[in-house]
Amino acid sequence: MRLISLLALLLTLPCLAHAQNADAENHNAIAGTVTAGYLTYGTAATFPPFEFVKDGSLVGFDIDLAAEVASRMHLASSPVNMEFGGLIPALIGHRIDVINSAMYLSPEREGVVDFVPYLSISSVVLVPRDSRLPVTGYDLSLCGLRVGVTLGGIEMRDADKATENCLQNKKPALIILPYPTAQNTALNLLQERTDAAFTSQFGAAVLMQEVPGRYRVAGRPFGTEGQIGLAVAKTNPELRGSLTKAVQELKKDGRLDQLIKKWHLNRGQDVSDVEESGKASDWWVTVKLTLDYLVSPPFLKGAGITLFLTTSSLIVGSLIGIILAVISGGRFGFFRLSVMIYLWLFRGTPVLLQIVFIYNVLPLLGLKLAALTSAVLALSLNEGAYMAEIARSGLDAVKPEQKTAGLALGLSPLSVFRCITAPQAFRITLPMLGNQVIGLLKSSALVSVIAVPELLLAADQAASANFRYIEALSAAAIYYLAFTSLFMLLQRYLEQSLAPGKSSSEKALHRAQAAMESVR
Amino acid sequence: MLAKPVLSLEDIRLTIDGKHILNGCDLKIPEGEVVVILGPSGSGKSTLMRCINLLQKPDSGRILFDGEDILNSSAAAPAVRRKIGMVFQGYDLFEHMTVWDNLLLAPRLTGGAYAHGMSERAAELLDGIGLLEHAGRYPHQLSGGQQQRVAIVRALVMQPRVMLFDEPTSALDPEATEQLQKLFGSAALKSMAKVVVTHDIGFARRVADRIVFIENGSVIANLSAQHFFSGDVPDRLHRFLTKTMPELKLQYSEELPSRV
Ligand SMILES: Nc1ncnc2c1ncn2[C@@H]1O[C@H](COP(=O)(O)OP(=O)(O)OP(=O)(O)O)[C@@H](O)[C@H]1O
Ligand SMILES: [Mg+2]
Repeated sequence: MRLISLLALLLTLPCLAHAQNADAENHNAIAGTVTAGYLTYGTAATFPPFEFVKDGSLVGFDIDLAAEVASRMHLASSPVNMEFGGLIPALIGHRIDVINSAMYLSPEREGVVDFVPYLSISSVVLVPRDSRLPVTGYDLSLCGLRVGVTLGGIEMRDADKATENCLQNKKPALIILPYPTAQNTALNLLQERTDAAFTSQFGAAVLMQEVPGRYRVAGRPFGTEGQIGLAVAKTNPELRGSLTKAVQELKKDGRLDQLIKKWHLNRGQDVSDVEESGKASDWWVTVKLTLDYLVSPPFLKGAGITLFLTTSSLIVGSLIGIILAVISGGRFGFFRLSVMIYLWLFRGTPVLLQIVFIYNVLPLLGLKLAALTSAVLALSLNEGAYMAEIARSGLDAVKPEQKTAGLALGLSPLSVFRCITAPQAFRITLPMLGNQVIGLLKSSALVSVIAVPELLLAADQAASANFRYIEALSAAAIYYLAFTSLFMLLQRYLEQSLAPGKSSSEKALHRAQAAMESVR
Repeated sequence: MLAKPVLSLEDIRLTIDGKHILNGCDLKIPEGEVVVILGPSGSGKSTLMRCINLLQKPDSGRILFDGEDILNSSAAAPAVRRKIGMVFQGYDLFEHMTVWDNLLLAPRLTGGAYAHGMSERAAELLDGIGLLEHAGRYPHQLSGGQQQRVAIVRALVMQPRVMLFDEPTSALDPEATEQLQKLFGSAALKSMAKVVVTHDIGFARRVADRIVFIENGSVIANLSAQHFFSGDVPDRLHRFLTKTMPELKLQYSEELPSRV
């Protein structure tokens, strides 16, 4: 047990150090930006060529753009990588200064944030290369088909408009299927869960390059009025002003055009011309890449963080659970009521909600915690609620006479708890604890939503750079299975060492005989 | 002849949920004597024992232990309990520990004089009850009688001044009862004051120095065993026994062939 936590600690040292730095910086933040001297921006790095992870680092058009904009504001740029859905909450929660994630301007979004637009983008209709459906573009040929779009993207509005058009022409509506990322949208098209997908012209260009021979674009690009922009909080008009100025400068002196060329955004204008480079893909490549992922820094770090999250939440959660179990067994009405409310709250809401709440809502109430701290806190509080029930049932299962016998021998209540009640309760609850740990290991994947780079996020990002989902997810699965096996072995070992055993019997007999010898 | 009492209870009263469980109990436990408490079921015998060991706090009254009032003293309950050994009806050995660890847990955790020489003490006592070879066993691997003797030794390792036994023979066969009686006469226990609650009049006859009757939470008779078993019992008490404890009467008449 101690060995494992040490291992987890070693693996996560860099990330801990980082979290502490972030905390320290937060303290001397001045008005204007979240961290003094930095333009802190949120990005969802699953959208090549705008932002994605390549060989462990964040790259893309937006990443370069942020560096340019920041330097013109005499700031350094500092990215925070998270899920797309977490961006706006993070901005409102003062976690970041800016959202820089190829975010489309939409009336709904403009209701909650202010935009500084920097690029016009059109969309395309993407279909599988060998599709037999007569899709001819963004027109009535889509009516009644299953169309994949990215959640919250401008494509959703395009899809709604297409449906309206179909209905006006007395044709069936589109079946709109929203997916969390552009990659998911593309993947589901390939797997024929959808008939067509809307995606940005640039995204389509990247797809044709990375996954050659599988997709084609139907018809011409549409919806040229689409714009993407940097988003800032409505409470921060000064920042919006300086960002606007910086972007205008970039446009004027040609730097923006250079970036557009660098990331081949101009090529997206006619994606159908993109060449297909034949890429070999057989099982050996899959195995090799999976193994490479296993030992790559992002996966090692992700695995370390996952293990750290699991063990630390287990320890803190168990402590909470034991304390609550003892309190709720007592006769203090006030404590019992608070415990009941706590259990009700944390067992009655999804863990995901608790994680987002602690990370994004608490800052609004004046408590701002680093991402890793928020993650451990949320998981621990959730775990504590379940542990309380388990500990309670374990303590209740110990015969009260055992406790009385201990007290009658003159042991303090604390000693009785430590040496009699707790060990017996622990042995009873061990199978339940085993389940709990494995459950915790898996719920730790949820904290990817607040940008903690654990195992699943590492896998997601690796896959989004090259669409190698099988390999990335296999590597992550291997880690999860290894950890699960480890915990199961540990449980087995504890069960055996706690059960009345031969070795402890022999030891006790030996001691007794030795003591008798010395008397004689 | 009354020796100096090691324990004396004065006017112990206890009411739980409006029910009077102890109604002014008075009792003296003389040094080195075996006091047997008899009484019908529900009369408050076990509760009285729990009060002596501070496992139950009476509403009023005094318990003098070596002259000190332990109910209203500054001494913490654990310190008092270490000097008063108690053996429960269910023996209640710690189920997750070997016999050996059961014996050593309390002295080890208490430390000081209690820990000094504890292993030798435990080994000798265990040998004395013929269970040294069972030191490595777990409670569930022992017979009821063996568990009980271990429970007694577990209390004795702490070197108490008094031992309390709640219905020690109720779950024993005649052979185990005989062994218990032998243990009472052994060096470790012989000179120690003992309080024994029992329904077993035969056992009482063999071990008792004094017999105490309790009914409805108060002591209604307290006489020397010699006096009691001589058959010269006041009629009032005899009528009472016949009425309240018919099963006792049966054993009583068997044990007392001298009484017509
Ligand atoms: N914690 C408690 N709460 C309420 N009533 C109690 C409690 N403990 C004991 N009693 C009651 O007090 C009375 C005396 O109980 P006690 O166990 O002392 O009797 P006893 O003389 O030992 O009986 P037995 O011979 O059956 O063991 C009983 O009526 C019992 O129901
Ligand atoms: Mg009783």
